Amino acid sequence: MSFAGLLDFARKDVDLPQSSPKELLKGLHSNFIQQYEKDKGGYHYIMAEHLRVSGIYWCVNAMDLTKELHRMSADEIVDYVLSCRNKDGGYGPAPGHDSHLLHTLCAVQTLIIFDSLQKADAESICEYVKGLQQDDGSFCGDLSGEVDTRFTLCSFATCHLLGRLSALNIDSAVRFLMRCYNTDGGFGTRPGSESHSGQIYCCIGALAIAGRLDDIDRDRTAEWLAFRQCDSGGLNGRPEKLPDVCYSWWVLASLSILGRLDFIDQTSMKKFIYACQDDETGGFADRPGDCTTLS
Amino acid sequence: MHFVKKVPTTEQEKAAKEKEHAKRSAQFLHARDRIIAKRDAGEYDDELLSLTQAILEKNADIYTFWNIRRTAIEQRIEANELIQKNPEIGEDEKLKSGQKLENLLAGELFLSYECIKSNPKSYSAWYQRAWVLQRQAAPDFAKELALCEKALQMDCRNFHCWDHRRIVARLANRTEEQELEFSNKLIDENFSNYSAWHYRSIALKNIHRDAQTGETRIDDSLIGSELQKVKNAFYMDAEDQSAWTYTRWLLEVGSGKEFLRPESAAPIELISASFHGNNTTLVFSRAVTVPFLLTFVDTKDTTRWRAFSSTSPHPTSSRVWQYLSDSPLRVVISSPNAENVEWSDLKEIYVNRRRLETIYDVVETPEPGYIQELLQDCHQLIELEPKNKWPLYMKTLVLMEYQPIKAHDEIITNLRTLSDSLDSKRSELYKSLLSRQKLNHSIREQFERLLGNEHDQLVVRYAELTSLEGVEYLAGLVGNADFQGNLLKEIHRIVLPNLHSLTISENPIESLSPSPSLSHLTFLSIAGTQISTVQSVMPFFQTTPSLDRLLFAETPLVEKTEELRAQLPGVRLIPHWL
Repeated sequence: MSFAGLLDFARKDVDLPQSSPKELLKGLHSNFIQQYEKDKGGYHYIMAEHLRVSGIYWCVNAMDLTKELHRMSADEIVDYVLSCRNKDGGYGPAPGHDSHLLHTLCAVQTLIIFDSLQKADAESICEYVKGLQQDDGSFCGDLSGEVDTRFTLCSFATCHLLGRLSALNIDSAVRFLMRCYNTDGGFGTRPGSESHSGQIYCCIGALAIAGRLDDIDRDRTAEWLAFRQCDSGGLNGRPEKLPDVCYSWWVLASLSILGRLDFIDQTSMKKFIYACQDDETGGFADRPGDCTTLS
Repeated sequence: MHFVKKVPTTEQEKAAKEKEHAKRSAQFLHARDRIIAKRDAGEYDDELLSLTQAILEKNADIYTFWNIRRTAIEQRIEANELIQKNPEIGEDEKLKSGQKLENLLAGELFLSYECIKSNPKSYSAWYQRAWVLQRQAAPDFAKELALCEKALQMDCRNFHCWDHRRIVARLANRTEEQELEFSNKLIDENFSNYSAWHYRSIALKNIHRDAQTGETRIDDSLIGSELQKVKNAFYMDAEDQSAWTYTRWLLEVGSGKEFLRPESAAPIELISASFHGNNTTLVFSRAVTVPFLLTFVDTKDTTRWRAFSSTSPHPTSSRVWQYLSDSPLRVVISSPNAENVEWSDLKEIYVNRRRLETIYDVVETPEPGYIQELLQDCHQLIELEPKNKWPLYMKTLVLMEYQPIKAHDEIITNLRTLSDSLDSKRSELYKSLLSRQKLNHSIREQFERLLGNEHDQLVVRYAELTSLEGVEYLAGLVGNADFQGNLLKEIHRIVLPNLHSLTISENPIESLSPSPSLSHLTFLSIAGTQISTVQSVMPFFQTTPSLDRLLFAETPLVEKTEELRAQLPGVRLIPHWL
């Protein structure tokens, strides 16, 4: 970390440089993503193989939101995603890699964006997901046995998108989520774990899919999320941490699910997000002045 | 890249970097192909272990390679078990085989350690540690706990490490008291450690949890001493959220309103049960699902239930349920687990007065001794740091918890100060608390009338309501609601499914969204709202088949009266005050 970074760290917030971008540089971002897609021999592309299908979903989704999807090679992407399917019915991040709930969800999402869901076998996907549910209702992300509330969202969302939510034991899954619900209104990775914005998104996303949002004190959760906004306007992932642009998504999406988007100041948050853009290459950094990233 | 500052690079540096990158990519691809080929051929040999190790040392997040390593290790564990069980194999060889396996497992811990050193946030590397510890013959838990401490010294908020610590503490049979002591140590080193305070609250809850009910009971003297501890923290840095969050937990854990809080283990209670001609309405203290409902009623029918929620049109759990039938259900009004279950045939409304009194603060909770001191501390900090939102917010939360009636005016003033000047970013949050305070205040004034059988009317006018969260506990009692002159923006969030008459005049409402909760309305007033088009209301009116009068005076919709009439032929339209 640089000296400037250390200073930010100590005061738990950042300044927005005067020269920061003040609006969304949509064109630059779609170029950034398109360039990334083309540069398949590039170091960063190769070394991120273990994240690829998830990365593809985020890129494709961004292009779809900015109405630039036509610039992506639809057939090639769909074929690639389909090639990541394993015998167990799930999808890995790249051919040869083990199936994982995260990449299985992202594969389904990507296929839906390209209107190609019929090319996947919904039943075997759901069987794969179902096989990862544990007796206590939780889900393992893959055959490793690692349990995390993130995987509950992956499984709910996958089966919901395939119209087969009832394949899962929703009741026991919700009971497990509620064991991860903390007094501060947030959720953690497992029972007893500290609240974290990303984890909250996963848990209330799963509860919303199951129609179980009334199980929690929504306003308390929304309040915890509202306090994620720093003076700079940026949002952090946990109390007393630096803001990071990725939490604009996790926190905001959660507040939106809770119907409490107005609990934070949208103007200053937008300013922070704009300031995280790289106005030369396109793309967003975690905070103003840092390197851009896709993940 | 997270935490990587963007710095300018020269062409020369760029070229050197590219060359290095090309070399590393080629190496990676070569090793990857070899690993996958060997795995596919089932060759889980030492070469596979060293190939995956070399890659994971550089990138610990490639979970597939960890999976491969675990399969390889499991094979060796099984092989060793066979050797140990085989009577024909000598002790020496058994010892050697066992030792070899333990060395392998110890090596795995070392690999994971190296990975965590370069990437302390690698889920896979931390997971591998816990996995190995559960397979070692004699895991060194003391060393592992020390490793956790070391990692937390480098980053006291690393939640991967905290999660790992929880696993190790469980495996090592550490007591909750020991873990409480551990939190003491970390908090003493650095009080601004949200993770450590959280860990502490979990340990305290586990220590004071009733094994049978699951409820946490922490006595006043312990809460008092915890407050003394956390007080040092908020006096040191009154901006630090860790201390305030912990204080708030202490405040709420002792107040008797626990059943309304997150994580509550209090038994769910029936709040009201009532028959409304075409449905039986049940309201509970917390959201429940159909299987739970069936334990309270004399039917096994699962098909006639409807749940209502402010966030979803089709919830599967809710505090408010209707059973659609022309005859009333029989309902259990004691705890369904009680020895002598008490039934009601709902000839009159069943109301759980005690719970409703707690929900709407009809009676103030007696103040434990520590509350005055906490209020004084907040007061002192407010004087020292008048621009800091936290002491004023905490003081207000204390008042809302213990003096909601006595301190009503001060609560309102404080929330306004927070919203308007001290913390305007979260203005709507404070306004929602203010709204709830005023809603409770107004419900208290009407409480006896609402609980009596004479009227079903709730009137909360000009009370700055931004939300009707909390009103749903009255779903069985209110048929006629008047929320004129408030700040409500959305009608579909009203969870009062027995309403036949609703006045939401003079609220900043621009459109009406469909609301399953309002399908019995016969009268609706939207006078003085900003609704301007027929299209923006029709989806709603398609869900109100019984509507016979609509008052919409002083709205832009008045100009569209004829268009509206064509769409709503059976409804008496009232575009002007009578």
